[in-house]
Amino acid sequence: MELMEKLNILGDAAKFDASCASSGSGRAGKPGQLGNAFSAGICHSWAADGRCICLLKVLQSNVCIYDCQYCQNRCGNDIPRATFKPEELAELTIQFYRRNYIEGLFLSSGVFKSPDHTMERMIQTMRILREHHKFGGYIHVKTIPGADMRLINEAGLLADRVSVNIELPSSGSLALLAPDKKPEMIFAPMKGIDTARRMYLEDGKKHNSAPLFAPAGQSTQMIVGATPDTDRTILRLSGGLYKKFRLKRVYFSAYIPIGTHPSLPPRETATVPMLREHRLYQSDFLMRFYSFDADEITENGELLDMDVDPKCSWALRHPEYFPVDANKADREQLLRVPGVGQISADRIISARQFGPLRPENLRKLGVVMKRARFFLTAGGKYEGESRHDHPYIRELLTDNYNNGQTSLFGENNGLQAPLSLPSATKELPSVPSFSQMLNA
Amino acid sequence: MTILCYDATWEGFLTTVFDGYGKEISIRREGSETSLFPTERIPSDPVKAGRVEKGMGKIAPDFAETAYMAWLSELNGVEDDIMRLLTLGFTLKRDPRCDMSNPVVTAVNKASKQTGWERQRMLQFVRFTQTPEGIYVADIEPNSNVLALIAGHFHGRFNDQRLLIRDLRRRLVLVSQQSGWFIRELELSEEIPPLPKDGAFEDLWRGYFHTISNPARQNLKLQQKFIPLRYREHLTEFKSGTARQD
Repeated sequence: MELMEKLNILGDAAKFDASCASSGSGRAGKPGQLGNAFSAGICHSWAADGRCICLLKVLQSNVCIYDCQYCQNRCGNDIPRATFKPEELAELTIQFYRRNYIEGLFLSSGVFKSPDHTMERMIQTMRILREHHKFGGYIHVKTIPGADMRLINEAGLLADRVSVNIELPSSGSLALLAPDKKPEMIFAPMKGIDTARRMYLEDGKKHNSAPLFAPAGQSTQMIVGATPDTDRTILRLSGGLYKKFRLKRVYFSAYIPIGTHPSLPPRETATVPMLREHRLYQSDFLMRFYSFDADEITENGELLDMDVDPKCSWALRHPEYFPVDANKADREQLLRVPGVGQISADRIISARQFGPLRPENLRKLGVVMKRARFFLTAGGKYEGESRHDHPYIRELLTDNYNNGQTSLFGENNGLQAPLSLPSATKELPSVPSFSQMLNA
Repeated sequence: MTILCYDATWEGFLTTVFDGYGKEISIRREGSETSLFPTERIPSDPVKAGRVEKGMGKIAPDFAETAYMAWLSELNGVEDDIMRLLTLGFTLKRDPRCDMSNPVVTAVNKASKQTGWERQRMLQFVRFTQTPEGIYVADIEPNSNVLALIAGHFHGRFNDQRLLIRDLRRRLVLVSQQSGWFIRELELSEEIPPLPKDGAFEDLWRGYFHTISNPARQNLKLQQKFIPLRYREHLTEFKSGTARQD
């Protein structure tokens, strides 16, 4: 099979993986060798769907012995199959890298023959890159559920980031749609990677020659909208993963209807829940950078507010915290104000040393006064109309997705459709949720 | 008011700042525009420039960097803004850059940020093609003069490659190989040879670029926000190739 054809098949099969970060690993290049890792990450291009391309994201193979219903590569699906030889894929990565197309390789795979066999092939690809080509660029490897922990350890020593995909956020959904995968197959490697990472970090403190184990940490991905799992379940689980396994990122991927299983959203009528994915990412950032807690964000119910972003939603529920005085409040308080981000909070703190700030100054500092004016005072001035959850305020704070003001989402992607969860609730066996398992 | 003209180098600019400090002046790059005001040409002087740079260091250790980045933006009138900010710094005897509600501060910050962005864009969007001799060549046309700022990155990353990055707008060429890098200005008479022809990997990249996009999530506006049209002329994936013409 021609290389072009393989790349088409295996690139196409990999496009459902959301993660594309190349950050978190800083490594200088060695004299006379190829490649380094830029710690902030570099995006090299953006595809027509507006998502960045920074790594060559491909599968080692899209042949798979599993039949997970949500997945395009399930063995029951009739699609063309291909497999990269390790040397072939390494050469392709190097040639793309040399032309400055990519930061490195994002390697995932369908499970061919057995999890261990697949993992060995992936390790071989990475080994050729690192040892034969002396490649110093970024590698993100997806571990195969069920692969031996020794192989995962080996992968961690070659890659910058290792990830294990959860895909379905509760064990009930997993049992229903991916009967071949067990929750232990996902959480055991996560725990193993975290333990190994901390062990090598400790070693690194003692002697400089200690090898690096997944220096950019581990991440995971969950599909949103394929199962009736609620936003609260998803966010609690993410919060738990950040705390328990020190994950760097949890990615959400809006389900694109490809399966035909009766408990999946129907292929013809279902829409891609892009807005829901967006709200989940907003909540995820609140948890990681704004010291919000999963329960604070979802205290209002199982589902996130789709009209306003989660920070506005929290602020409207808590008028007792507001208005905050921009000239006096500490950083923590400022970060809770909708329209104030980490950068503008720091700017407020440094600028107010020169004299009291007024609303027009705040605007110049990058505060989004469209939202912030309801929750801030500056120099004794309050520019909002009211700070309570009033229908009028809500309307003003609502993102204008429908009138074309924002281009965050493409057109005709079902944003206008009312949010509904797939109605398979009855079929879900009652088993403890993942987050309960995490806390056990 | 007097117009002070300098030779378009950083050293020349600093000399002009030294000579014009405390006077009512406006600083212009040589040959940038004519004016009705009396114009004076300032010859570059390393001693004076060194003193200004040292003075900047007294305001804040990284003040010179902000000023340099802002200067590289080559925006109209950025020289005057830097001069005003510097005067402000010397008068206040503290770092004026924190006072972000001051319009001079915003102007200089904006200019330096523009250069920073342009640098980042160049790290992203430089695309090499390989000549038969194995030299990797790329063309760029950035708004800010960032060639010197990206040189270290490309030299460190592609240390085993011979590279040429050509700034077509300023006729500058970055030459990088394992032993080191330098920037050369092209003579006026020198012609820039065309880029080498695309090979198999250019086609593979274009093919991959189309494949990886998810049609269910198509969003061209968002794509354009990240890759403004002016960069696309030099991007392999936006050039038409033999791979796919859809």
